[in-house]
Amino acid sequence: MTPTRAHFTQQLAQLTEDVLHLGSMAHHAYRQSLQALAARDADLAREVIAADPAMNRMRYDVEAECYTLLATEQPVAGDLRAIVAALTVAQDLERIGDHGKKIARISIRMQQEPKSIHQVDALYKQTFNVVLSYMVERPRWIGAGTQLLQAMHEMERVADRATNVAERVIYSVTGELIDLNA
Amino acid sequence: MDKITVERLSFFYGAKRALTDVSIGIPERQITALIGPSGCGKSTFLRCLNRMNDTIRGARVEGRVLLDGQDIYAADADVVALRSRVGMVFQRPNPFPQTIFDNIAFGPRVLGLASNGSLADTVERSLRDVHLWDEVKDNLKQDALSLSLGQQQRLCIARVIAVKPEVILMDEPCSALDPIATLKVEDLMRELSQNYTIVIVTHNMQQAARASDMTAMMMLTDDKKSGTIIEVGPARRIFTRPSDPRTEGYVTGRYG
Repeated sequence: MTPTRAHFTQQLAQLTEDVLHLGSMAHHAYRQSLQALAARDADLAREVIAADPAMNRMRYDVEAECYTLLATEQPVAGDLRAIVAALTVAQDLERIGDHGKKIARISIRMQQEPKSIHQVDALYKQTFNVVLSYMVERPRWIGAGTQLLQAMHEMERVADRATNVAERVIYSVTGELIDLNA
Repeated sequence: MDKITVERLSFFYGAKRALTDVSIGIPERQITALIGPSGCGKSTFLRCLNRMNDTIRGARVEGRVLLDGQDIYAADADVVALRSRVGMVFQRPNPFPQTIFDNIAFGPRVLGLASNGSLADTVERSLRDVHLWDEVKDNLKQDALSLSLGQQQRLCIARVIAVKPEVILMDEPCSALDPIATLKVEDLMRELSQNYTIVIVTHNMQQAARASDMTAMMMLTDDKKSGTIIEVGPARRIFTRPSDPRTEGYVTGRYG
């Protein structure tokens, strides 16, 4: 028996590469947004926001590739799962980019907070309750604290998206759809 | 509920072994598709199910094929009765060079199933069941060979069901048909499966995926000398997550 479907195999490899590329764009945007938030770096934040449309385009390109392969190659079994996984993973990755953009916007808004707010920097890694108690104890930090809570919410959503991606990878490899949050 | 149970069936053409240890339960009133690369014994296996291989000199079977629990290879089994219960449709439509009416009436006449009045009813009902009646009702005296290939194949299916079988074996019934005629036969199979147990051999993977309830994957054994079933399961599982890597390789078109 000789291997067949070389062209299709190559197109699937290209699809995987495109999803990975979208993944590294999203990863980069998210990390930069956290840096921008921590350092109050408005320039960096604007960079993150400017990078978003490219990720949106990339996601639609991946979708188009998936639809074309579904319509023209009639994929089944592992091939089908890989393409279906790519469709949903691309959406989650693009949304991770969106959350990065929102965090970047929050970090720009925090530029306008009083200077002393910078003391709160170390807090963003801590929990909701810690931020809340800071706000209760020091009412002048309420504005900044609210922004941080929003940023934390975005981070939580990123973690959810990352879980989705992991679930789809398991589905692609084993064919089993499992809920990693269960 | 299995209509046919095959237990460790091996088949030999003289000294040559063609099938090794084939075991499968074929569920009643469902469509079971046999898939696998050329030369792996799919047609040989199909023909074992109504003893069509008996006519081949030196043909021999080991193991058992149970139809409703009765071994069709038992010494006292009635082969003619078996073939009226287990009908067959072939790769190329093979109407008799007779009229449309006589093609359908042939089986009931030979088996003495119908008097002349009810014969016409049987012909009409059989042609209606395969959705051919409206196309041919005014031309029943016409030569069956004047029909299109797709119509001829549906005529052959009508000829099989005219004798009220329980199982219909189909050996690549669509390989000579165009895509539309193929889809008509597939729709017909789906309808017929409400009343008949259908086993189909197909090289068309999309056909097995679309039209079968159960799919059985056949391959040559490791010594490459004979065929066997390596995996059986619901079609929706075989085509989304097969468990044998050889099935995966075949259904995704990577090997074969």
